[in-house]
Amino acid sequence: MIKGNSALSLLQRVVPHLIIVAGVLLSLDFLVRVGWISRWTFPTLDDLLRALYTFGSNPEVPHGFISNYLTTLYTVMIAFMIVIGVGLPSSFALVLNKGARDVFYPLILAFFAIPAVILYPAIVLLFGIGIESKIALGVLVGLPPLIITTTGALSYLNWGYLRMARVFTNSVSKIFVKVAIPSIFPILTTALQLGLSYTFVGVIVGEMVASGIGMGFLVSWGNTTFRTPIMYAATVVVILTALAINLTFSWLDRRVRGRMRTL
Amino acid sequence: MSSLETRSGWSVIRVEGISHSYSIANSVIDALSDVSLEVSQGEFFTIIGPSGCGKSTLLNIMAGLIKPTKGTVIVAGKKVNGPQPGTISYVFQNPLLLPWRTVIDNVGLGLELSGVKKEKRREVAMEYLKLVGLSGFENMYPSELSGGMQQRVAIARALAVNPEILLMDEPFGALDEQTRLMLGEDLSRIWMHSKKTVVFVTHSLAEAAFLSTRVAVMSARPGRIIDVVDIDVERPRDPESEGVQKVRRELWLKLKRGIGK
Repeated sequence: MIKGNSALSLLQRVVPHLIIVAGVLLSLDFLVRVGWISRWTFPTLDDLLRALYTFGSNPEVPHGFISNYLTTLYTVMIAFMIVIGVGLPSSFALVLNKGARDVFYPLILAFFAIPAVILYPAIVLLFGIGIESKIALGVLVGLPPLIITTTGALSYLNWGYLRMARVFTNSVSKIFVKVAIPSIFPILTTALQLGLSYTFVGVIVGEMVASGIGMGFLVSWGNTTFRTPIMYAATVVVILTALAINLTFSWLDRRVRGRMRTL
Repeated sequence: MSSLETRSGWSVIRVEGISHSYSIANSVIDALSDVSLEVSQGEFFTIIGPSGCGKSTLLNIMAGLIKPTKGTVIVAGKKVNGPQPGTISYVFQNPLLLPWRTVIDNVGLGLELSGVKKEKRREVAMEYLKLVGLSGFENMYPSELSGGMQQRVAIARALAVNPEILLMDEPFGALDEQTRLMLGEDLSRIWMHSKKTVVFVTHSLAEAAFLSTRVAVMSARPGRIIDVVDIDVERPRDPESEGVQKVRRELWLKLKRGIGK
């Protein structure tokens, strides 16, 4: 009964969004069919759906869809692991060390303000056009928002919890895992979500600009070779993947926030 | 036999010449001045004094949460250099329950941090929830409990690790009078049942007179011990009895002298 109600409420929330998306797609389809938009610019909906349906088996797609998709996911995953591995400890260090915070935090804020993609030519010269340069760009784009948001999240840390936990154990790592991290978890999920979204953007942009494989490459290749349906099919896959990541984080966030009621 | 049982009759806590100062906005505040006291095993020792006299600071120093500027604290024969998990437990004025954990998981937190297995900590947590009168509330979240119930959970959490010493920093300070009275009676019962050494900081003279075996009266800042009063009113005590009221009046007179009135 409860599950049925929550599914209904989810449907009620999603339906308006689906109607808007369907409306936009149908309008574009109509404009293509009446000739106001060229088929080279936008495919009809049936062409797009066919391209999506045959994506996995289309011999025209360089390296095949699966290789491109998995390469992008792998690159994003590696870049995001570096973002987390560097970003979370750096954020804690910045919160705990005022001197480091005074020196580095303004630089990180300034770096976040510049379009990191401008550094991509230099990154390609340094790392080549393999996945290393995409990882580097993903990290450069994803790291600042993660550090900025996590540093903000840590200011919500209730030091009373840590003092209370300190009475029960001398293990800093146990206090960190069982008390500190869960206490900032709702804001931390937002920081991770932002970090992952930006990392994803960095990798896709890197693949679009200079690459031989990956979803960004497919979009760029479809565009330059006028294989418009493939270009849009790759775009749709990237959008759906980003949405899936976002929805997963939102679901996680709601679950945790439900329990984090203020005392 | 625990390390403390071998010292039965000896002082479990020895505070020797503690002074403490701290800086706020370029000025140095002297919180405590040459405080010395001893607490015996199984005692209910209460510290009272005017606001800002350093009672809580003294308790935090005993717990190893604050390093004193001068002097030493010896607990169970060992010099205190930091918190002593397993030996000293602490109940704060704010219950500090973790809102994402259920009541039973909050009570089991100390055990979990000490590495006790889930089954065992559940069993122990249930036992202490029963002791504080909260059986049946184990699966609730802290936000679903009243202030008094939250503080009971905090007491159960502190007791569940079976400490030898329980330090309590104005645990009923934020509660209404009716809840304070009820919790005071419960705490008295729990102390008689567990025979733990309790060091209790309070503003309430009535609480001090009702609960304690001895009461240390502190002066205004910088806090010093101006007197330690033995309370030999028979237990179980009635908070309205003439004996308890007489002690309360005596404590008030000593406190007034400490404030300088």
